[in-house]
Amino acid sequence: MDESRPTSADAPSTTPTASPGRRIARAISSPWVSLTLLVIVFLHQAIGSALYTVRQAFEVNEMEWFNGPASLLLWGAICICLTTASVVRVPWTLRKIGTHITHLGVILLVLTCGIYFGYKHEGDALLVRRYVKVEAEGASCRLLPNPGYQAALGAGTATVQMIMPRWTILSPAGKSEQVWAILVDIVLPGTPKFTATLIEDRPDLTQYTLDVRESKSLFPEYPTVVVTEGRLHAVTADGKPVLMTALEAGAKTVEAVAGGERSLEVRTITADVPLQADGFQGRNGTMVTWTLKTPAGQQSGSSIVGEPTLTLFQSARLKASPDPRLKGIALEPAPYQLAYHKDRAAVWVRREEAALRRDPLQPMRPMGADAVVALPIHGLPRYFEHGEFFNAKKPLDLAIGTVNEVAFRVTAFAPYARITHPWRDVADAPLDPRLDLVLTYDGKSEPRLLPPSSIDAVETQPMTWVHCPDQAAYDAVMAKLKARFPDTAAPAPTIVPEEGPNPRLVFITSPVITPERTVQLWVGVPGTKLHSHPLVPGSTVEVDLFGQVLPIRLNQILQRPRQVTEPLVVPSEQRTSRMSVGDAESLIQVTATSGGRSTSVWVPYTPFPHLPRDLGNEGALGMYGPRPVMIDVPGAGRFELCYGKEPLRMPGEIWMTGFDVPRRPGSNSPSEFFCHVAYRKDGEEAATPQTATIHMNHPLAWEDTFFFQASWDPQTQALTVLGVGNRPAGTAMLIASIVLALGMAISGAMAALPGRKS
Amino acid sequence: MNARSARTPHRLIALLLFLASATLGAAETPHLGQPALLPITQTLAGITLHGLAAVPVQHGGRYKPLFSLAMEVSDGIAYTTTFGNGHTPLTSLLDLLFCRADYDLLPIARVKHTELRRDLSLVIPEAERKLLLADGKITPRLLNSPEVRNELEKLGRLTAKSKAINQVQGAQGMLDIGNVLFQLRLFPVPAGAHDDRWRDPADLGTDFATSLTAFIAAARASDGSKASFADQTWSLLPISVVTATKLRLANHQELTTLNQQLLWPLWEFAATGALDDAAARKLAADPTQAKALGVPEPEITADALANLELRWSRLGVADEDLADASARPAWDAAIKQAVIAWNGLGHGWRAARHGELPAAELQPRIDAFVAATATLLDLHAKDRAARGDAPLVITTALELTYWRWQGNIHWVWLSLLLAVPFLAMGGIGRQTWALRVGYGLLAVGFTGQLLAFIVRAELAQRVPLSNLYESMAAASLIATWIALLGEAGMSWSRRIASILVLGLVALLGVVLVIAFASGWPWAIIIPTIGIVTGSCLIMALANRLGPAARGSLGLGASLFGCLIIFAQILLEYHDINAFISPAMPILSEFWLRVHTSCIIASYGLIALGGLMSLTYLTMRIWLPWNDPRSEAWDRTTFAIDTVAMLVLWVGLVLGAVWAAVSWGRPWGWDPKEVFALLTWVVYIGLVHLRVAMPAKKRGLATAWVALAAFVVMVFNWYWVNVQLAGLHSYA
Repeated sequence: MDESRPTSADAPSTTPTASPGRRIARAISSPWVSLTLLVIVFLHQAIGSALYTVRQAFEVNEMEWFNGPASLLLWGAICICLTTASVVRVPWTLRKIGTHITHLGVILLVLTCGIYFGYKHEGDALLVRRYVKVEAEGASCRLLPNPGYQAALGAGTATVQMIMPRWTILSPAGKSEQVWAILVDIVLPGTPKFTATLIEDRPDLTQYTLDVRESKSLFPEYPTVVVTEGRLHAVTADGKPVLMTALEAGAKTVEAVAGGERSLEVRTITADVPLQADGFQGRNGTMVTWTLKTPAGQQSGSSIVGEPTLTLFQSARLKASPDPRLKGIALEPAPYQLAYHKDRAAVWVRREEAALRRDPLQPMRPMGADAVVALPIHGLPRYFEHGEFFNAKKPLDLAIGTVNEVAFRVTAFAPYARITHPWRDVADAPLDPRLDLVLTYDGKSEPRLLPPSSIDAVETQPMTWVHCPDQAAYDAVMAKLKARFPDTAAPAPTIVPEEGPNPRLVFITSPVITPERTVQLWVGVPGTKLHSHPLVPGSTVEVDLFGQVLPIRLNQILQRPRQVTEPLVVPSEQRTSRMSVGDAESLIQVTATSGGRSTSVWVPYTPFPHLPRDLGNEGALGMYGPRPVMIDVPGAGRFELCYGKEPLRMPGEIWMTGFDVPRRPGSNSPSEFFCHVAYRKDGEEAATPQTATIHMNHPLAWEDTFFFQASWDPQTQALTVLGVGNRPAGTAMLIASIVLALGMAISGAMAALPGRKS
Repeated sequence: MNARSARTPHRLIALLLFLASATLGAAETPHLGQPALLPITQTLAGITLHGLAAVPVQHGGRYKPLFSLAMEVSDGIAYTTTFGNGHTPLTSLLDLLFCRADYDLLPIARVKHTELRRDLSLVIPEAERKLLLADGKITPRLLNSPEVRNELEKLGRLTAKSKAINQVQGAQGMLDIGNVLFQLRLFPVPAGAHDDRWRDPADLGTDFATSLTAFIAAARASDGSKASFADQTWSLLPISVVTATKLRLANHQELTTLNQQLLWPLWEFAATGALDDAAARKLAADPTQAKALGVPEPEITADALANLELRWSRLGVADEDLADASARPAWDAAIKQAVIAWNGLGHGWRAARHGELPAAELQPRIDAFVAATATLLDLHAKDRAARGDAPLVITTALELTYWRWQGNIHWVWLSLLLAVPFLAMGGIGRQTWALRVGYGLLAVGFTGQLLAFIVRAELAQRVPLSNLYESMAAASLIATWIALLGEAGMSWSRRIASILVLGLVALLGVVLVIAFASGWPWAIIIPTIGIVTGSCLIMALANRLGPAARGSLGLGASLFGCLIIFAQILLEYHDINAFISPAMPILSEFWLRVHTSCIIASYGLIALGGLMSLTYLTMRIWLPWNDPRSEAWDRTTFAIDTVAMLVLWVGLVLGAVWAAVSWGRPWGWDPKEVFALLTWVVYIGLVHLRVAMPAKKRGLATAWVALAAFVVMVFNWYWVNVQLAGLHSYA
């Protein structure tokens, strides 16, 4: 800044002869106008960022606040002000060139930012590491890598049992390696369950394990293992004894055969074992347990000395499927073409039939498929009807589209809300009285909806809200609890078992409506007597439990109960600054209309609607899993609805080929994490895919789309979420920023030019 | 302590803690009958803990001295690095490990969040309420009570106080000896090709049979009382808290139950002499023979013992973990020695703290443990060499020196504080000698800060710019450097300044040529360019401004340095955490050096400008606006503000580039981004205000706005980090 000259504020601002236009221009370009605008910008941004409760009162997230009309207006005004100042106020001299460049930089930056925010696409793509392809006789299925995920395999099932992200194995080269492995339980009708262990990129190491207790060997070439003449040996298919092994614990015989070697090892020898087999009860024998290894795998079993028919084959680890009906099982890459926009809401609609028959991979290409339709929601309002703010009662009715002649509309929006499933009295529900109870123990409350019983038809039931770590003990007590009240008004007080294995169990009888139309509960703990407690709606009884008070509250008696789905608004004190409209904590109400009849349902937000419903609650995929809601449309059938984001098309297919998490010394803390991907453009399926590694600070640039490492699952390392986005005008923004910096630097240099002062 | 007890080091702690719990009742709590702890100063008299403090421990992804871990543990509980009353961090840790029960009723834990104090005060007895409300202090017993736990869980569900609740739950965790022992990875024992984890005391236990035999032998030698059970066997019991953690026992209740229901009856039974040596060995070798040996059922079931043995078998050191099988005897001996030494240290410390062992007899135990860990470390280094792995970089001695230096940081603060009056006298009063003294003191402060910065970089193996503490220290360092450079530039003639600047630029050119020829990484080249050009710019600018404002930069820098060190001391280990830890994965070294360093330099400049404005405002109380000193001061302040604005902008742009490659978008309206931009907006306002204001008000306006920018920057630096959730929580 040139300090040696009079400032523009010091100089007369306008001359009496100046034209009105020039006067207006000078007024607009006044530094005071700039200052005013800067103060407003400051306040606007500070409120939007730091005072997020104020912003949330307007029901907008950070992006909407900062990129909204107020921001556009402000930055536009600043541009006009700067342009005008450069034209009419700041002299076009060398000393002021820095100021002009600075102004130019700001204007360019505002414009390029406008382009960027106007045209940018940001989204998330969920990539799974591999899926499991299972093919059996007449059936096949695909499994996503999530523990507990189960799919039908003809009349059987295939279930992901476990994922081991860092399983240490001894490689064929004799070195220990850490690999990513997945265990899949296969159940086929008529054969015992077995488990396939699949290792990433090592199909040759696939193995099958099973626990059996059969007299038939899993190795046809070695039908049995017996002890004869004081030695343990296997018998070949042609009856020849092989692998003669001494009867000593730890003794082992190894022989070379085609394809590798075979061995028989004695593990334990136990004398005087009571024999259990039919015809042998009452006799004792000497049992030898052993392990037989062949190039096809290994199996363990037991033999009885002198009783060759009693050989049992138990656990086995095989290189080929123990059931020939399983034709193949392998880990396959899971290519994706789809990401989800961060900022554009949509309702995903599927007919129930399509939802039920969908393949877990097919929904990943939903846009070409008729089974699923994404209906964009434009103009979701910034208020909600349950709120305490203005516009609270303004009705909402947004038509979003039609699927199979059913018109779908969004009729309510509840950000900062969670879905709940309370019971309500509904007029058209059947008469089925229930007691709505709340029990509190250890600071936790649990609602209970119990059917009332008549006095002569009541059974004791355990209340499981009290933690019972020992399931077996719990089940044992449950089995005893079949005692009934006598047919009298005064139940016998000895109904609870005298000796419960877990004293924390609490038993409560079914609520009984007495002839006097009052409700009574009988409560007790193992080893104590039952006590009755009269209850009226709205009242609480307090039961003494090991010196603690157990409050039981009867909220209401529902005559015609039905479970409904309703939003529960998150109290303001539980909201965080990052909580955004349209994110995890929000619901919409969708109304479907067909043939003049409508029905409505609340649908919670879900980030990845393509995932199958039956992922279960385990694993990270389960966490991301959809929360679809079924809706019955009168006359049009059932539909599955998901409230998520619009699809964002990627340049082609991308799939994960690996994931690495280097750790810091001696800890589980990751020093970094990165995924390996392969990708291929649409229409170039025959081409060799390109590969890349996406680190946290090293995204993949593919055409105009960037893929960066966003999140991952530390438990299974079976998935990664890639941020997907373009950067329109990114280079232009950078240039504008540099111009601005240059302008400031020149201004500073010019300010220093007047010379040394002493 | 007998030799058998020494074989079971990992049972050092548990039982006292649990026998002290409410399940047994105070009347049966053996430790209550023991002498109270001596004052720590009395225990420390005559012993030295330097060797023990320097014992390396693997923790938090790095190798640090035990002293550093001790500070972190104490901080986790007490919100300061010691338990007070003359304790050092290390003595606090040792007391926690070996005398935990003695602290059960002492208010050593602290609740930081004042609102949370109010919440928790509603569920605790009135007698302890006042202390909690006043100072946040609470006893471990109360902190772990069901009432407090339930209240925390309830508050966690209902309110957004997760950060405060996490702090309290962290303290609860630290008071659990199992957790502390689990972190105490003191023993460098190989764990195989895919695991570089060192072992904690529980890992080095002997086998189950040996443990149980020793247990039975101790029982036979005792009078069978519960006191003897607690007194003599607390290091013998086959199962401790930490072991329970490893054995996946569900909770402490289960452990307590196991100890009481299985081991106490066994102790009582063995004390009757019913199990001779042979029977004890037989039982230990095969617990299923319990009934045959006459062990009373159902109190001590064979199943329970067998189950314990099964779980026990998961512990121990595997043969295949050793790279060189021939080293096995040496390892066995060293591990045994370490076990004995650890057990000896535990027993000795506990006895000495209760006045049962003279301090002089404690010293050999401490030395033995230090020697034992050194032996293990030596063997570990050989094992790594046999594997072909690079030797570990362990700088515990340097780290201890660093902490000692940090403990004396008040001397740096004092030198900066003393510089203030001299610089004021020299700058405003035009006393050259005072200027020299002031800058001399400032240079001393600078040297102290620079040394700390360099040592910390060496210890952390990264540029120390990855948390609030480090960024504060770096900003002060930069501001002081700028002040020293600026002072030099002001006092030199133009010719000398030009020669120096040109020389530096030429040197930079040569360095760059060498750098490119040698393939130096950009992470070094870019900051080098930034530091040299920035220094040249500051010198040239100061030279242009002339000597009229000498002292102004130094005054601002010394005030800022004082403030920073004061804040570090005041808020140490509260919101400003001085502990050295590896940077988060997202914080790449390149971007820390490029973006973060630029932003922190701008913070230093903004602070310098703001505090120079403060001195200008003070000066204007008695000097008119057109006094040459006022004018020079104002011009210098504005020059610093201009540079600050430029550097801040460059930092913002570099941050946007980093955000684009890391998060996929250059700008996300994160609170940190927004307030950095707003700081810049305030400077833009300052420039426009300077244009708009008449000359005689210009200085005041500039000063007030520069102060405002400083306030916004501090808000962004501290408040946004601590209070607002965002993507820059580490900044």
